[in-house]
Amino acid sequence: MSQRIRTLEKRLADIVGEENVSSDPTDLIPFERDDQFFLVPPHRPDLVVRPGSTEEVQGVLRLAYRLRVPVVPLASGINRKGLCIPSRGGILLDLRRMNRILEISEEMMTATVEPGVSFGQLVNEVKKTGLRVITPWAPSTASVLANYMLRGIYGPATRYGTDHLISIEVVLPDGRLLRTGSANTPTSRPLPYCNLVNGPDLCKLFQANPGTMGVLTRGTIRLYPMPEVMKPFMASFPDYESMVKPAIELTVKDVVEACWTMTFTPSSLRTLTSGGRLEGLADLFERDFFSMWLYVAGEKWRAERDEERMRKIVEEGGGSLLPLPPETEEEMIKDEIWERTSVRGWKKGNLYGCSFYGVMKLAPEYYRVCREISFRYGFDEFHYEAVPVAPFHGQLAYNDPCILWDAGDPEQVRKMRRVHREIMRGLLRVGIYGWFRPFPGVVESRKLGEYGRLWRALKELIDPRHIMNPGKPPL
Amino acid sequence: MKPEELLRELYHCLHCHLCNFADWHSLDEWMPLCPSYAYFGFESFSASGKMEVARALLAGELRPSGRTLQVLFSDLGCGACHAQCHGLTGLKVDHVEVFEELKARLVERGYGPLPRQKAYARSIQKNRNPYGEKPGERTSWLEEEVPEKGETVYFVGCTSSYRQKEIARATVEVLLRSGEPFALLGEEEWCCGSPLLRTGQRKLARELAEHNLEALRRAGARRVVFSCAGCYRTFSRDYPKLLGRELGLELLHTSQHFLKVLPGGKLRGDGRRITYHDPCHLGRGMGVYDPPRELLRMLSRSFVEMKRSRENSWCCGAGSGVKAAFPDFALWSASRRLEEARGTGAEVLVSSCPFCKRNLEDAGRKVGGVEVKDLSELLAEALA
Repeated sequence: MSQRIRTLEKRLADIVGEENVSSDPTDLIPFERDDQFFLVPPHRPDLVVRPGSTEEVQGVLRLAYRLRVPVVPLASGINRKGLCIPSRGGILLDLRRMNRILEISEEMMTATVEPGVSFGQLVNEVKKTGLRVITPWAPSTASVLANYMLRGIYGPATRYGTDHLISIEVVLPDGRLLRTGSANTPTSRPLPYCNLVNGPDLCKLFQANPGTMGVLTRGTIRLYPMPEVMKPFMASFPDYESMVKPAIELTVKDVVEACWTMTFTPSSLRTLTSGGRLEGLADLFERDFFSMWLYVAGEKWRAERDEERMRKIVEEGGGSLLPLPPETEEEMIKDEIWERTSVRGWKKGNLYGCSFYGVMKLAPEYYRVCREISFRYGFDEFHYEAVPVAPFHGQLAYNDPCILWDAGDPEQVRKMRRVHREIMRGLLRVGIYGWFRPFPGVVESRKLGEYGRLWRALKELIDPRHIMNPGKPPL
Repeated sequence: MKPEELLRELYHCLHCHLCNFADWHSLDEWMPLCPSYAYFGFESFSASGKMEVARALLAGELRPSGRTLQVLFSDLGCGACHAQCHGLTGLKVDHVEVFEELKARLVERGYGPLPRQKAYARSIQKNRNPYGEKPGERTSWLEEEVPEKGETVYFVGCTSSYRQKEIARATVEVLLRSGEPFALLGEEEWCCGSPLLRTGQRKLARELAEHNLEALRRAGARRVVFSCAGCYRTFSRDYPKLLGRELGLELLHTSQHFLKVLPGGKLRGDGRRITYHDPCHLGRGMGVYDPPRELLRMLSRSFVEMKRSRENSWCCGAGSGVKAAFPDFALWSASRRLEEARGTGAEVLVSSCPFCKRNLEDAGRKVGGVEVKDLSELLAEALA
């Protein structure tokens, strides 16, 4: 270890306590790679620091800014797409000690939380009220704020969209504190939560920037009434094209809260259902299984009405509703409220995904392009999903081409790099809105013209010493 | 598993951290499950962190430091992480086996175990028990005449023989009342080797296994009954691997044996509210969850479950040499368990492992509020 790191460690220990700093390689190794290591090369931080408060984060950033040390914030410990790989070393800021739920306001339908608060933790508290948290179908250990900052909601996004963040508190790279929304409004008494205040909503400026503009230390999010009834359905369709019209109609008419159009190759279905209640399902299919997963939710009268409307739309579209065992139904409801089972996607060992925002009516084309590339490289465990997202203008849809593969096999790793490049190029040819996670290699601001130039200029303005998560977009 | 196969498998941990929490889909509650991550806080102490440490060690990217030893030798081997991960992700290895394998490899290379873990190994070598006690005092607790030969042998274990003697006495009392003949090995019973195997000290463990099996052969044993969950797991899972052969013996935990031989109708508890702590070696380690519960339900109409039970059980914090090397951590973990037990309104927290009882009792001296008992003790009281 260099003298510089030793000195830095001592000074960081003065800020957060020596029990919360380490430069031992044993403590650093867990942060050096994630399961996308084949796309974002592993790199070890020099130190891991665990601040417990906004003031400690400020202290760490002031020091890092002065010494020009890179800082990579990590909210609840889940790292995807290399977003938190410290490509240039420096400090890995592990924010999991900051896991307080500061307030749940039933009156305002809001929760104010720190970045280390996970969805599981928050759902557990919010369910004691009559409210609910809008959750992604990700592991419940994911950070609420990190997810919302990256606009990470799909699933319930058909009705609820991705915009659930009202205001945030950010420590800027030089240690100054920025509060957005009504938290920053000068009034004689503190007001509740609103993002529509004086001037632009600066909260949005920090969204989709993977810790490259500062460190989020708290955020206020929107909560929603817990529906009286939630009922999941699964429908099968003859092909992808036939799912598009019903999906659009169900979304535009606000019939369902979630509408997944999903396809599975028989081999992917076999892996995903192995050991589960639906094991054996894959044997029924000789070709891809085209399905739609739907959730009707709301007050009883509304759920009954919507179920009827949903059945009609599905049947008119050529779909058939499938019987669901009660246990599967129950599990699907818990997935929607609590999350978790999406990690089944990793049952092969690893999951390649290259999620993006695109146009719902183009989903069949996205699917065909990605499937063809995947099969050409010998990856037949492929599935695809597209979820319409509210507000649905422009037919906004979250899309994810998924490949089940084995990153322990060096040959597959080599192939997967080529698959990724081809899928990116293929999707851009079809036409997409943008990539879901801003990870290096997919988001290239230099190809974004004036928009990209301004994005980089804003980054330069906020982080002139380039200490925040260097090597990540905007590049 | 060969090192290259293991290394390949380690790439399948996706760091979702679901292994740190109990299964909230079934519990409908968000509860931590990994004591070492909850206590030490650094990612390296979580199962996914240790998987990365394992990968780096196997790939030759990490030179072990004192911190490496702290991270790996504070692993409780409780298997809570594997219980959550298994079947949910593509990771096919057993976390407990990976971490034990890693400790053994480090010890082979001259790294670790920790000083107190080495100390008990020296005692085992010299005294055949980890407590520094004389081999001749192994049955000092015994008040009855018990034969040294027989088809059924009660393997007492070191903790019950030297520290929690009330468990050994109670077990013998219940065995006698059951009317089924049984024998004790006496001084011929040596440490089963569990404290060594959990801390990577495999060499001596093989010798112990061979001796114990030979002693059982000489005693004419066909069936071995254990009141210690650790001994039971070691005989059942580790001995066959260690020796490369099946043992040819019926192995039973006392809860399984008692359920077979005791007349259920005669069991009368004292009416107190009871809850049960699953020992990791018995529950997640051997899949024995129901027999202790069936007995407890016979004993008490007010048997209640803690939220974290069975596969979702919170470890008492004693195992894998942790109580010796990290006593504060061990007591912290036990205190959390006692709080959970108290939260059910239970007056008695029952376990079926002397080492769990020992650690929970030690913690209870500080926090109090609930009495800790072994299953055998309750049964002996009920039959008295």
